[in-house]
Amino acid sequence: MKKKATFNYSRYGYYFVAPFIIIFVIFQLYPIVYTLNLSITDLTGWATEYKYVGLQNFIRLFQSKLFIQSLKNTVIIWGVNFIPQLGIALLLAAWFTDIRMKVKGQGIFKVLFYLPGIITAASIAVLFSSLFRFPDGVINNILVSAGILETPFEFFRSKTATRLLVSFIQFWMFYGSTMIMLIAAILGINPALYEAAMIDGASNKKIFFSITLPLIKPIMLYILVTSLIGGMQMFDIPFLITNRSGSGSPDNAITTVAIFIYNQAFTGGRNFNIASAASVILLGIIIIGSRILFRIFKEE
Amino acid sequence: MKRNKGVASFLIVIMVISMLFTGCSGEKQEETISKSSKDSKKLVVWTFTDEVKKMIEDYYLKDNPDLGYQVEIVIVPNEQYQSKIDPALQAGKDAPDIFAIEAGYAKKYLNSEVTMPLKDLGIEDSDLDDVMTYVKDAARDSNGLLKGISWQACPGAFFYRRSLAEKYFGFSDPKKIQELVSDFPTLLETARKLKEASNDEVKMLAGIGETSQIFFANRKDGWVVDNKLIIDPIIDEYLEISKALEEEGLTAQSDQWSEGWYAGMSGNNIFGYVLPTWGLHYVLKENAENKETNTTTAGDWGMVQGPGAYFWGGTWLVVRQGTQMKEEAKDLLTYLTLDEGFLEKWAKDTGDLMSNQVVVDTIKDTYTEPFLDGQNHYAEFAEMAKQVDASILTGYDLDIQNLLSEEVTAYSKGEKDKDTAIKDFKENVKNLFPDLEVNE
Repeated sequence: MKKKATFNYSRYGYYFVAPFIIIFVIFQLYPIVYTLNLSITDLTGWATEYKYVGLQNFIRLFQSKLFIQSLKNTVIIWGVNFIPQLGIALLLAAWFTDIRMKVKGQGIFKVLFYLPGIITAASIAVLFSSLFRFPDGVINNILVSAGILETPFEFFRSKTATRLLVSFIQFWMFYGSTMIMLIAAILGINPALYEAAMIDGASNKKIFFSITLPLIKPIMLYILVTSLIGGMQMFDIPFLITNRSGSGSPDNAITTVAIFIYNQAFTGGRNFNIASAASVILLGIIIIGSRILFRIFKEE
Repeated sequence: MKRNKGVASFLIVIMVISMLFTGCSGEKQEETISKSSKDSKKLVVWTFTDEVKKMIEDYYLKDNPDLGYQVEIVIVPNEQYQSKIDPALQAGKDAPDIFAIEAGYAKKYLNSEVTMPLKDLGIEDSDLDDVMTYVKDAARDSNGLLKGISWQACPGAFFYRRSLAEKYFGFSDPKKIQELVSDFPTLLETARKLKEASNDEVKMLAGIGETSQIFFANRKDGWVVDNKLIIDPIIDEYLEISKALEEEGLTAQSDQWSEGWYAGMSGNNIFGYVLPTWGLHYVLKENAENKETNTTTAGDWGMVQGPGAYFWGGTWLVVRQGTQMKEEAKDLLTYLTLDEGFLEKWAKDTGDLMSNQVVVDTIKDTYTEPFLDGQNHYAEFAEMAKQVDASILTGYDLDIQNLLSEEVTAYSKGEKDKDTAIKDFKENVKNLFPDLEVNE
């Protein structure tokens, strides 16, 4: 009798995951398969029928300077935002969880650091493009009246400045949530380990590198992988921050792969085939990148 | 017993699944219901401004209270319009019966199978004899077949500040001002003089983007002829004039639609704006008041043709090929664009320039615009509309011109030399339109 009951319970498990599986298959798996299919066709514009053209779209993409450029842009913008983001989040997490330091007003700081992540990306993009406006934006006015600059600087015509701004916004929006996750991870470590280390006279530095860091590795891996996925698909901020005639200005410096895909599929000749091929390449990059991260963390 | 349980749990799963589906497709179900019952037929209209909505709700429905079907109006903002309407048209499901298109991309739809020739609706070319030529030219497909109509015409002008003209040139009469901006080299000269006379306080134009519409309108060929990208020689002048304006500091360096651009309309630092009919009513008038100083520039504006005839924007209405509401669509289309009674009312209520020459001629002499210090903008716009040539429009215009404007900016600010700018422009065009022939 008992045996039978357990058997049934495990079957109910399938029924309960069924809704997710069904939604996943319809709204995620099917589009992915369909995209894979489109990536080897010639479907563009108003056409509704297509024929298969093999790997032609992929070859075209790797010959396209703009696509290579957009890959580079994505990696640069992500890298410049992610490294300081993780570093500062780690530092803050270490401070906030330090038993000896006992930072006052922790709650307020945590909320303040987390806050930018709550605002919608569109509002932030508009806010920054207005702050850094040329020639009479707030930042330019401050810099000129403080005597730091003689004439206003056109931030959104400088490739470096524009990329840095996008990276900074990404950093500023997400370091709070990274910090919260790291704090949760550190708080999950057995306090006995810290107490033992302190009794043995270990320094803060030593404790951090020998206890904290190794034990939050699983969370670090999670943060790295999700950030990689999010970073590679970066779209909203770079798409909205320079609104001069479409996107990616100046000179395609902030055209990310996702923007490239959008432009291919929804503007110009509406090249669904090329957009799909680019999506497939992006998917490949994310899978390979995640595999590498998993491997690195496993080996250590 | 065991079997019963299996059946019960199977039923639960089915229930859950069916609930999910109804959850996702609630909208579509309503659709099928409304289609199946004949009384609730719906004529769906898609547009990107609230103008059409106003015309239908305040005029059409009031004149036709017993239509027997609903008119549903969907407004999609201009920036998203194409990316929303294209999939709908392609799928044919939930697609509009009538939809609005703008000059910048009109040909994309006109040259495709998604729009219906007016002939098939029973509207002959002879019905449109009174409609201005350029308005008709803009709505023909590549075979010259008429596929859309517009109620309005949108010729463009150059608006300038009378008080600033008086102060720095000594006169403000439109005829004399026109001589100062009659072509681009002259405009450049005037801009230099203005800079000197005002001690660099007043700029001729808001930014280099201002001149683009005039240059684009005065090309000899369309952007794409026989599937080849054509870069008209006038583009070279566009690059040079922009560079001169930028390098010599003759503009306020504000992009169109930016805060600085709007602010100039109520301030005293920008001499003139290049704007069409709608720009007068919806842009200049709306932004003439300075809320900080409580001053207004209304009444201080003058209007001249500027360096060249051009038109900018304008809404055309087309009927989707495959609509089930052909007669109803025809009725609405005819009312909005050909009914002289309505056109006259609409013109009088809004000041909009109509595409119908007869209507324009009857009312054009009745206007004096206090905003322009009493100038009759209507009669002058009507004159300007005759100069406009819309035969060079292509479906590629909006995308290609956006790509070009980025390169013009880069060149004029000295970020690139001319060859690189043109090369990058060609490459970007090739990127968006891989099937186009682009000379290296």
